[in-house]
Amino acid sequence: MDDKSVPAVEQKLIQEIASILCVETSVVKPDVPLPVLGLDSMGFVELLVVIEKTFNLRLIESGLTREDFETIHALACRISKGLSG
Amino acid sequence: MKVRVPYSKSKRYLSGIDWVIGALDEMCVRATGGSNASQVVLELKGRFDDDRFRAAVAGFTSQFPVLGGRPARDWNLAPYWKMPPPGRPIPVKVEIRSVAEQDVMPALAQGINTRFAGAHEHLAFRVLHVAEDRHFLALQFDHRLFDAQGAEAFLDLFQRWQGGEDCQDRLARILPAEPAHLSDWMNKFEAGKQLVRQLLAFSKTTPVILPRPVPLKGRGFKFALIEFDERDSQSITERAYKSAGFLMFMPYVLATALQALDGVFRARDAKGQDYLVSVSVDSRTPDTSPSKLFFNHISFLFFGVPAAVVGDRKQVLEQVRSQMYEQIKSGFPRALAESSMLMRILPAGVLGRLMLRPLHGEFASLGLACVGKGGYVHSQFMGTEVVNLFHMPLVPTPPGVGFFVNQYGDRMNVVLSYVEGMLDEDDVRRIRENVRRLL
Repeated sequence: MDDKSVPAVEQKLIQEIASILCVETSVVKPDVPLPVLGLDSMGFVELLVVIEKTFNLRLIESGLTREDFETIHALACRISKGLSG
Repeated sequence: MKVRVPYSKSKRYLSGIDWVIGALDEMCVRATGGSNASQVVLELKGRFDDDRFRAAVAGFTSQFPVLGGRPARDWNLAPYWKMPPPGRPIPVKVEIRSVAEQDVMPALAQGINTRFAGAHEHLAFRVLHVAEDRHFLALQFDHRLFDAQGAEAFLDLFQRWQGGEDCQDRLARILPAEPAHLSDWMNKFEAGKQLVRQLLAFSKTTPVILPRPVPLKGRGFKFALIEFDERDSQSITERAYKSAGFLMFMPYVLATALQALDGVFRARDAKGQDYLVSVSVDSRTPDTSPSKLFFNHISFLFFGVPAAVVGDRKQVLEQVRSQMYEQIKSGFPRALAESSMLMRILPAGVLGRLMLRPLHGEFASLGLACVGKGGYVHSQFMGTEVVNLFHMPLVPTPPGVGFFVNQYGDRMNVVLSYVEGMLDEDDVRRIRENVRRLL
């Protein structure tokens, strides 16, 4: 993925989470906590796998703090930072 | 060239996972004489009307002929769920009795240890009256017909229907037919290769096994229920996210289960190098949940943790998390579901024996499942307040011991299920203490 900006990463994450949950992208909001969207341990790990495949970032060993992963927006910031760094 | 075998579009063919569950049922019958069954229990507070309940059960269940079916084979050898002829009554047992407070768990255990009468019975309701305003309602179900989430969703639909809610849309979404999946053979064989590779990796070690009592035949299961209130449950979730990582609840529960049981396994001279845990995982997505009420929509993950590191929580969590990641990355749960389609050609009894071959007659050190909230969503049942909801599954034997966590509203429950005689009261007391301390 060429565009590493937060909005671009956010858009990609919305698509992927919608695909994991089999819901329309319109119901996946960037500021809603991931558990509220319906992600559990399994779905979350599926998302981490997608992130590794799409952004080449292996986050499973990153500590998985709530601050970095609570919402799509927070996660997009974390990924964008990881891609730029 | 793709080979397509014709199949009926109106039948409910069984998936590979359904067939595996059927094989586990045969395994249970062979080992203890019980079956692969479970029950959802509602703890109720308030007045409960027995007559209204009996009438509601009869009215609701009569809409589901599937409840009176049985497994059969089609002419193309694919197994399917044979529906009863129209007009045949659906055999659903309803038992109502009074018990003393201290007899609630033994009475619930007695219910789930009772075998269904005949090949067409797969469901039973039992109501235990403890006091005028205190009751327990148990829905016992055949695992071949429901998984845990499906059984909760069935109760949820029951509540909506008897409450007068228009359920036509929900009922219409329950798909009675399922294709036979008699195509895409290369994909299934490829998935099978992946499964065999994983099983071979596990078969190189000797799983830690808690000795089972002899003889096994005729032994029932016993249960220990460990309840957590809203405040404790919230703290547990916070601790899980802090130590295992955000949303890593299942790995946290698995690490807790291993640490809580390890001392008892050792004290009972359990031999083996690695703990091997089978974890059932729900494969539904929010959009498919309403249509996947009946049969099994799960897959499995397997975790191997060296007994030598079980004392080190950080290491256990790292290993479990990493194995979970690698299995999901490699598509293992889907490969298992896909490749098990190939196994449907075998009689369930033969498949049950075959499943024990890689580990020389064993299956795992223990079984584990986490049932999330969302199956039964109401705070009352037929007008009576629901205080708590928990599951009491019989565990396929081997291993004959399992650790189950569920969430209802903001409450959490842990249920330890084991073959009578595998653990004594002292063991269970220690495990209870460990769970409360470690979770």
